[in-house]
Amino acid sequence: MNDLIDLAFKNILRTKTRTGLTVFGVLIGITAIVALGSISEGINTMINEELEFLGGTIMVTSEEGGGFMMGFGGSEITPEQIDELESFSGVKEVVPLTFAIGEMAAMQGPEYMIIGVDPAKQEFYVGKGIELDSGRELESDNEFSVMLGYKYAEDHDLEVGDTLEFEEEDFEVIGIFEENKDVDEIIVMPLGTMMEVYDLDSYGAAYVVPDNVGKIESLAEEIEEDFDDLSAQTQAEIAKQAAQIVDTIRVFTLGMAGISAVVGGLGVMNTMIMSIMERRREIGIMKSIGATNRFILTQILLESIMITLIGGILGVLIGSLGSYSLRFVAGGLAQARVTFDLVFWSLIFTTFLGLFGGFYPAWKAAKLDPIEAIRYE
Amino acid sequence: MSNLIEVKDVKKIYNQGKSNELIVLKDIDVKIKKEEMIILFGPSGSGKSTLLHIIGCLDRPTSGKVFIEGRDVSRLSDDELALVRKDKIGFVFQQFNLIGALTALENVELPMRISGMKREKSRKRAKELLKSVDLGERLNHFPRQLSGGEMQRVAVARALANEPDIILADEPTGNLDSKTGEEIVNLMVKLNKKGYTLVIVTHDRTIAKYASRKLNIKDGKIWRR
Repeated sequence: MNDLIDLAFKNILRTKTRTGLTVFGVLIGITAIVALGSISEGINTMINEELEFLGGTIMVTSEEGGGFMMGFGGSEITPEQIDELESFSGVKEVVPLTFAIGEMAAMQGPEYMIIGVDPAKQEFYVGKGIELDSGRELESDNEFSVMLGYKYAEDHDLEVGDTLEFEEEDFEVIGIFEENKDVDEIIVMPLGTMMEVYDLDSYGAAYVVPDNVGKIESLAEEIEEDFDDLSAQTQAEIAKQAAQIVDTIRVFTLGMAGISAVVGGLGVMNTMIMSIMERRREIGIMKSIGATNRFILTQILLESIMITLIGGILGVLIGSLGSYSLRFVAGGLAQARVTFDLVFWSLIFTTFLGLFGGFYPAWKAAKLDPIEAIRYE
Repeated sequence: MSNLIEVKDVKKIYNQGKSNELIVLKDIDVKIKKEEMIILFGPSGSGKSTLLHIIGCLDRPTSGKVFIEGRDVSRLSDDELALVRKDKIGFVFQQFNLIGALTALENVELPMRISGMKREKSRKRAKELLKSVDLGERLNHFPRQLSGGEMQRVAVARALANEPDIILADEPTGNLDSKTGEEIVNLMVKLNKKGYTLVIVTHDRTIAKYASRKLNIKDGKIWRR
């Protein structure tokens, strides 16, 4: 086997320019796969991190305002529906939330978002893993108190004990969250105060905490069946939606990259066909001194796999380098991740390309009649 | 003593049943004993090369049988024939047929590498073989750096690589001048004396005088023995 590899290597080095160009063709495809694949991996990771924040709860919104992506605007859940949800079987707790969008800053969308939550239930909103940087959490008798996201506080030069104004009322800053992009531009206010101040009579959304997290899916389905105008989404469902988006991106980008890789594979086929035409006589000689058809087949396949693997390995390196440098070009916007899986499957695909491009020429070479091949000039 | 090679009622017909049917060999019967040196001669197109190819397991007869050491090889598969060629037969061609990308040493090693012999072993044997044909100084030369006579000696060394029983040569001196041709003839005679069985297609009279038998092939038939 070693000798076969050695011989294959010698053979592909005989036509350096041609081999180089063929390698280049494969390299472009694999580079594209790794670079584009790493971007969709990056998006995937980002969405997953986003989802972890939501925890094992069901998010209920009204139908018209529904959907995870646009969820927070326009949805309305009445207090009666909250009561009904609270008495729904399998429901442990209902955490109604209200939302208000802050002033619009130029070119950047809303500058902040105010979320109203019952101080007794704030843990369900704030979620696990998010700690306060300074100050304390809301307490049940607090009224005109707020907790601020880190970035908002920093941008407005606010500290615990300062006051700020919403709807002509003064609020005291009692706590500031640690830096976390999920809550950086969020202001958390006691639910009752917020409804009064903003004159609200319905809620924007509610988290429903199930008795049994294992039955979260069926509980969400029952809620949707029972309440015509409510939509209930579990994290799993949201994850499914997000995964669909990621999949679409992935299929599209990998499809494009795959096409260019297949073109590279055709280049390999072309090169190998030319190579065996030129080496017809040599193949005849090999056969006359005892090489079996299988030996010839293996030999040619090895050569084409070698060509694609060289292209593949270089492609992985260049693609990784490209996706790494993307961080500097695009800042935090695009985080690309070259995962082990991506590299592994790129190389498997590369090997497959070698087999695909090499099989027909190898089969042709193996089937050559030794007598005719030796006579060939 | 049993025959090393036995060719029995062999016919070779190309494009059988078609309008361009061509009968190359008809009813050939030949028995060759171990350590014989057989000369096949005859006009071009007489079928002597075809017979050599059939004996050498490069080709199969249309009908009839071919036995090598008592084994019928006339109906073996491509790969089975390749194994017989590898173990039993060494070829020497008029065109030398060395592989240009490989050095003399590597060319001689090639059959052993195809057999899966360990590298150190094949290298050692290839060196010995090249020394035995007086090319000990030319191991790392490529074929294009060698003269015709040298190339043919490399080819002979290669034919001996897997210790075959039979050496088959197709006009081995046909592309050489008479002096270098004679060297090759002497090499062949030496091999025969060492115990190799040789079948040589040739017009070269210098070989003919050393032959144990001469077979004249004409129109696909053997005319005298």
